[in-house]
Amino acid sequence: MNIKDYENGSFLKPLASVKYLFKKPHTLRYPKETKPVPDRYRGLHINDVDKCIGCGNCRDICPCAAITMADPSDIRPIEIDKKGANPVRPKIDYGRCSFCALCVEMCPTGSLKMSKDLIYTSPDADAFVWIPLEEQGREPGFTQSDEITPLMLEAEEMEELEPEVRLKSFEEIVHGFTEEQARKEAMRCLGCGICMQGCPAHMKIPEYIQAIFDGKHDESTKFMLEDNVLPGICGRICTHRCQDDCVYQYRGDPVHIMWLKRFATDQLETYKDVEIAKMPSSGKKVAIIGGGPSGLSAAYHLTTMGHSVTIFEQKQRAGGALATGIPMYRLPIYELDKEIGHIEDMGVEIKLNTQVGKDVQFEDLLRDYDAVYIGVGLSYGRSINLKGEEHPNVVQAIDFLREVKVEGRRDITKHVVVIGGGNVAMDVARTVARLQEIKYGSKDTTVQTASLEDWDIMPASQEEIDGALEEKVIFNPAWGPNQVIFNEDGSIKGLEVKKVKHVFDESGRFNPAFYEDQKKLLEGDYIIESVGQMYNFEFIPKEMLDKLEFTPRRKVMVDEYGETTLPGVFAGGDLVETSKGDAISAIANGHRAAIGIDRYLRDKK
Amino acid sequence: MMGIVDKIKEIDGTKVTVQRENRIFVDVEKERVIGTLYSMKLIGFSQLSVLSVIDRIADNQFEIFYVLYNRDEKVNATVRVWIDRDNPVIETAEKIYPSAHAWEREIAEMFGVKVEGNEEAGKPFILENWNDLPPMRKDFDSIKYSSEHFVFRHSEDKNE
Repeated sequence: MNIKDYENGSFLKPLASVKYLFKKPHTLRYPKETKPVPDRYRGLHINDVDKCIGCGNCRDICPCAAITMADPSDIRPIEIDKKGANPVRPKIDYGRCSFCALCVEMCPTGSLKMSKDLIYTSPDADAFVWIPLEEQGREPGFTQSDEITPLMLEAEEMEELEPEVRLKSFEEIVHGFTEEQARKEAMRCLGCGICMQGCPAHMKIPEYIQAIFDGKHDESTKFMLEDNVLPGICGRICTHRCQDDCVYQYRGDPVHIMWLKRFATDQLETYKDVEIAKMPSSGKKVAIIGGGPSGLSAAYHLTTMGHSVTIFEQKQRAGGALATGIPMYRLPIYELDKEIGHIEDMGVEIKLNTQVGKDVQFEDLLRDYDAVYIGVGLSYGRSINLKGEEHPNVVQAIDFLREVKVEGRRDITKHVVVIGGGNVAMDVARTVARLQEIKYGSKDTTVQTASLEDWDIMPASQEEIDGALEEKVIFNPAWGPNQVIFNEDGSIKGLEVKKVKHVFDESGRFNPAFYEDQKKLLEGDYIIESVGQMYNFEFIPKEMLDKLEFTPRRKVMVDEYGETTLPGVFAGGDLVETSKGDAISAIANGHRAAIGIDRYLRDKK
Repeated sequence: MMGIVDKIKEIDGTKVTVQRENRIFVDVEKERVIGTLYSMKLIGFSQLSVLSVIDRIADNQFEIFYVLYNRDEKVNATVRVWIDRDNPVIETAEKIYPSAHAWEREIAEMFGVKVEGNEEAGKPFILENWNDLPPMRKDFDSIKYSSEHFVFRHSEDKNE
């Protein structure tokens, strides 16, 4: 700057700087003001322990082993019995943490965040280890994002037959994964094992998914067979409670555990080469009444424990509801042959067409065998005392499904009404839709369902409902059956239904009430009742049946190992309280009863 | 926008990918890196924003990338070069972009890349007394390292 510049200007010119008095300063008035911290600053953690499920994925991803899972109940009580959660929360050692934030990016629930706070001092090194909480009052900084994430949030698409194609036959709808798809889907699994709690059989899900990823399908099947003797069947028709618990439910799609299971078992033609540990023979004999999933499960596990097992099956096929109830488009018959064949290969004797109480006596079984397992299931349709149900064209769902699947029945009328809103009712309606398409080309045909429950509480699974809707099944939710209306010539005109007021009363018990003035006629000349099943214990002699105790919900009373109040008699499957009405819980309590029978036989000298 | 892409394409030995507007990738051979960077500077990419490495362990290669910025056109261009992972040597770019000096020291320390011509690359930078594999390499086992060097303080007994 030259001195001449000043000569040219006014002497008031320095006053120009006065304007800066009123401008916002660029400097910070420390310590009154502090520098703002960037939004995505990675400081000390914050964890919403109520949202956190204790899955441990943060611990597994941590590159410094800074995280352990600890019980937070001393400092902050949490909900212990939360579904799909472990009662532990991450505890972080800040002496080890490298603040990379992988734990935050990995967190399935999004409960773990990092704060803008990095200042903490203590002379005690142990004071740097704590369970992060929200209550510590730190301002959130780095959070996860769904756009940029190391997780693969979207599941692989499963290919299915189009509704027009699948209606024409009973061909299996779901195609199954290809090798590439299965590997991709298996890669998504984080291996936390939260799903194992949801599975009634507590299958080793992370282990078998890892084996699928490694391409070792026989090893994968070996893990499955340890807890579930029918993995290929469960890979098709399971209620997959594991997927409801999968940690991906909070961000993205759950891993398709069921279809991965199906993929791995489909790669093996038989399970002969799968290594299964078998105990030396014990010389004990066990009789199993009923060849359904629970009976097969108990039989298989008892055989591996070294006992010799005989199954007495009333029908011409083993498999129970799997063989006679579930339609072919969900469960092909060859899958049953493969898995039941494997059980027979293990040394289980299956006596078909043998009804206990008629062909063999229950007392003889008790005398000739060291233990008896009852797994007869709910194999009889429950009637609802509908007015006019004695007509031959009013049938039970379980009989109808058996006739179609086992006996090859293909005749059907043009207009059918199905009573019920459960998965069995969906099976019936979709079976009817196929039969009508095959026989009439779906010209001028209807199949409709009437269920007490409205859409929101319908017991059928959403996939089944969607499938039925695609196949043009007409739903009448919240319409309860009243009576069958007949034509003058005695044939059925239709089912009269009335509007449902509520299904459950105020105390939550099943107690349906109706609007008696709102009625309509569902036209149809064939009515299929699908409102539940029941058991039949006629094969048990009266004096023994009196000693058999039942729970308040009319299930057989058993201890934790499946033993009934009759000594040496065990029960499982749908007969007992632990059943949720699906194959996997029957398989699980069959396995548990097998452990119980083994204990009983070893104690009995 | 297209003008600048055409200009880059004129540089010998470059393979240009236009990812989206303002985002260009330029793949070159190892021998042509310095020449390409020089030409890029001449056509207006005056700033080196980032110089770093991706460990392509599956291919046994290191991907060295230079993110350049053209202030006039407001375009980001990334010059990428793959080099052998077993013998990772590159030539320094500090004569063209002086800011490369510190970046090169960092990649030398974090990935073990040798930088010819940069006298300080290879000297300790931010790691103190490091005597293991360079820590950003994918075969560096961070859990093993931290288990060997740091104490576990998770013992529950201490709280009681």
